[in-house]
Amino acid sequence: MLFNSFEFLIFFPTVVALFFLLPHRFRWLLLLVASYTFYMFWRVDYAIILVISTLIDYLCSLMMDRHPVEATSKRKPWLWVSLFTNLATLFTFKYYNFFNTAAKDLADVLGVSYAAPAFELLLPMGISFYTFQTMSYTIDVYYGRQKAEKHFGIFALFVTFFPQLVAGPIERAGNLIDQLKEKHEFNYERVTSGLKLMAWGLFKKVVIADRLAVMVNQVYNNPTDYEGIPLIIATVFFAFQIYCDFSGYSDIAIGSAQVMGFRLMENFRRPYFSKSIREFWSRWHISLSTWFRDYLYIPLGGNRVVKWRWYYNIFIVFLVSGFWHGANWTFIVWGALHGFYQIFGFLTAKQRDTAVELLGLGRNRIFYKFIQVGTTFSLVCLAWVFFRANNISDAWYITTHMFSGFGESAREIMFNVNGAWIKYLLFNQPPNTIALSLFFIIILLVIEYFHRKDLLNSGVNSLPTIARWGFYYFLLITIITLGVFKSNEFIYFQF
Amino acid sequence: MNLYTSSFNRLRLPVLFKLLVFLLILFLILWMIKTSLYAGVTKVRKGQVATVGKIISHQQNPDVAIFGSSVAWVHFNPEIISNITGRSSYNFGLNGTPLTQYQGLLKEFIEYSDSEVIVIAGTFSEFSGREAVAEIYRFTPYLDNYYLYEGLEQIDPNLLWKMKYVPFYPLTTLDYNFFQYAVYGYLGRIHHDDETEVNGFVPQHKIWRDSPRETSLKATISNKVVQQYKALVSLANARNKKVVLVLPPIYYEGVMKIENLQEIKEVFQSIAGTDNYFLDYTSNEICLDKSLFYNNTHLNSTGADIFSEDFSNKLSIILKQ
Repeated sequence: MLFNSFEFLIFFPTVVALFFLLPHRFRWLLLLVASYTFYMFWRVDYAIILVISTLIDYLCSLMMDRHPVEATSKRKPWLWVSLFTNLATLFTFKYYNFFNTAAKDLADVLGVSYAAPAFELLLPMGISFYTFQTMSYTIDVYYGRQKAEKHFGIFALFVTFFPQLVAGPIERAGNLIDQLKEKHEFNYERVTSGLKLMAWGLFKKVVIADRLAVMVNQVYNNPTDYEGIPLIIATVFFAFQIYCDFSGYSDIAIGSAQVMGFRLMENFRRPYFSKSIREFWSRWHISLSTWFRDYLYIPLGGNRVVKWRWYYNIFIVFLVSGFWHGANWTFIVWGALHGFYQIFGFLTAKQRDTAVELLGLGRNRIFYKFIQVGTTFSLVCLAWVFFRANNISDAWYITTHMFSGFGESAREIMFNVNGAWIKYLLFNQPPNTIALSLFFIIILLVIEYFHRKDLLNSGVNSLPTIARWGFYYFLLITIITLGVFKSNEFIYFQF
Repeated sequence: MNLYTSSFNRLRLPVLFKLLVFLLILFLILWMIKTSLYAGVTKVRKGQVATVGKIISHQQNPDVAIFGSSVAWVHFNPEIISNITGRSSYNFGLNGTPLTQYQGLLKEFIEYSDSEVIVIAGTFSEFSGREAVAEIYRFTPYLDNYYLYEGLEQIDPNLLWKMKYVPFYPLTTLDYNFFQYAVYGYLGRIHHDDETEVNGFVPQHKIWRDSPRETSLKATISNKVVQQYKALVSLANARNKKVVLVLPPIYYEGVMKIENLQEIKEVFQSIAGTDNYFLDYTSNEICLDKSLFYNNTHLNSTGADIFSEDFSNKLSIILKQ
């Protein structure tokens, strides 16, 4: 079920109403049934994968819990069973064909015969999210950071909790399981605050992201039709599209959980205001970044190793992160590029500080910050090219023609040669599409900027009722009348 | 205040009342938006939106009514037809809309009109069927019409149900065109695309620059669509109207790429039967002249005039029979 669907509009209020009407002891059951229903709206048969994954992790954690933490030799096999099951499922559905094709290509190069068949399997929605969530649970149980959950229903709910089941935030057992057991009373302020967050998330998704998608797809699905400026505009649009799409989903997830009294972790903290790539990753997809930090980066040694090894750890983490997003070379390059940015940033920190001092940039803090934010955003956009492009050759074309064709495209746009305004500036869409997109991007940036100072919430709340309600009506009516509702899935559902 | 640990805050009456007032105002605003948009659109005098409105409100009652998709819309010049046949004529062609989508409109027209002849122009892919309703905004204000709703429901029942029965759902499907037409309707302005329209016909002053179709294709023939055609023709005959089915000109190189054109013609002929007429233009000499087309299946304004003249002469003979 999609958050931006009519079905969810019926589903969610029904679940919330039943949740508060039912006695506490039945609520977990209601949420579990609701979560499976939510998932099965997409596909019924794939729910079996969820059930199997839940059962195995539940049993493995119980088996581990029978032995003290120190008895690693008795606990470890169960950890391996759990990890193997999750990773094997992930591999089968998501990565098998990628490795199979790579092996075939390699065999062709070597002149060896290779005939393993390709599988036509549909990727289970949200598989990367829920497998990572359950893996973190069993790892935490193994290290004794988390008690194994004995209530199967609660554990199953932890795995499938519908607000965050298909696209996160990837929750930790330590945060969510206890909340699933607690009794949550109806709280008017919390409910309305959650609803506001949901409305804001929906606004970002259907009004901004899905509108931008029309233009981004136009360029990225036919990149060789363009050169220079349109490629740059489409890439910047994609940066906002993916942010509004994914953070919009997270807002709806966090908001819907909040309505029922559950607090999910923050997933985005205004990432495009970051002053460095390192800061960007502390603000973008936080639940995944912290997952990789805790379960990959630190076990690899983190920064408590010799320098080259530290850089190696960083690079590996970003490479794996890229691969997590999809079984395609484009994602691997995207991850590698971010790893390279980070390492380059560390290696050149001193030189950059010296340059800033020599140029006197530090004297004007606002200007300096603007330069930092602008540079970071540009680097992130460059990496997004690989993330969005349909394949490596398209990505290469886009990166190499963004600037090489800049002058020519600028001339064509300036003199409107061969309808360049319509093709390059409007992407063959009606003028209102781009006008509304720009208008809403500005609104987004203004709201994000004020939200940073926590003025939005308190600011709106301190307004007189008429103005406050006016703002809510504007948001809701814009969503209804200007939203793009064409069963567009959230981008991160594919991961 | 911590929203997660604060004590039980009952859903008191004032809160419920506030919620009710909020929703009531929201409903009121949405109702006003919907009503004013619909009212604006129904005031549109020209263009595809107006064509639908004119049928639903029974405003047009020509002697010769032309129905079809773009191949009707840009090919049949009602002025020429009227001049030659001496009968009033109107082009109800809807761009991107085959019979399976406009069948409800045609049914409505057959039921109310006094027309002598109904011309149905269909291209070679006419019997392929539809999986989604194209440009639904043209029909949105009129979904209360029984025939229109019934026809569109056959294409996408889920969407149509929501469009009709879920309050304000249609507002989520509207696009820029709808808003634009609503505003133009109020201002009494004509959309620039429709400025040249005469009785529904919009001549296309275009030149064909692209190459003709190179790959061959086989058009699907859906039995369901064929049955829809037959039912409508029977209904028209039952209301004393002759039906003329037309397969309009296709550029000759494109004709050769359609693998099952003969089969398609036979289907048209079988629908026409002995009581109605089928005019096949795919072997007409117009098809040989690329300068009369703006793409494989559409004539430009010059081509349309030549075609309309030829068609009118044939229609005159039919009208005398």
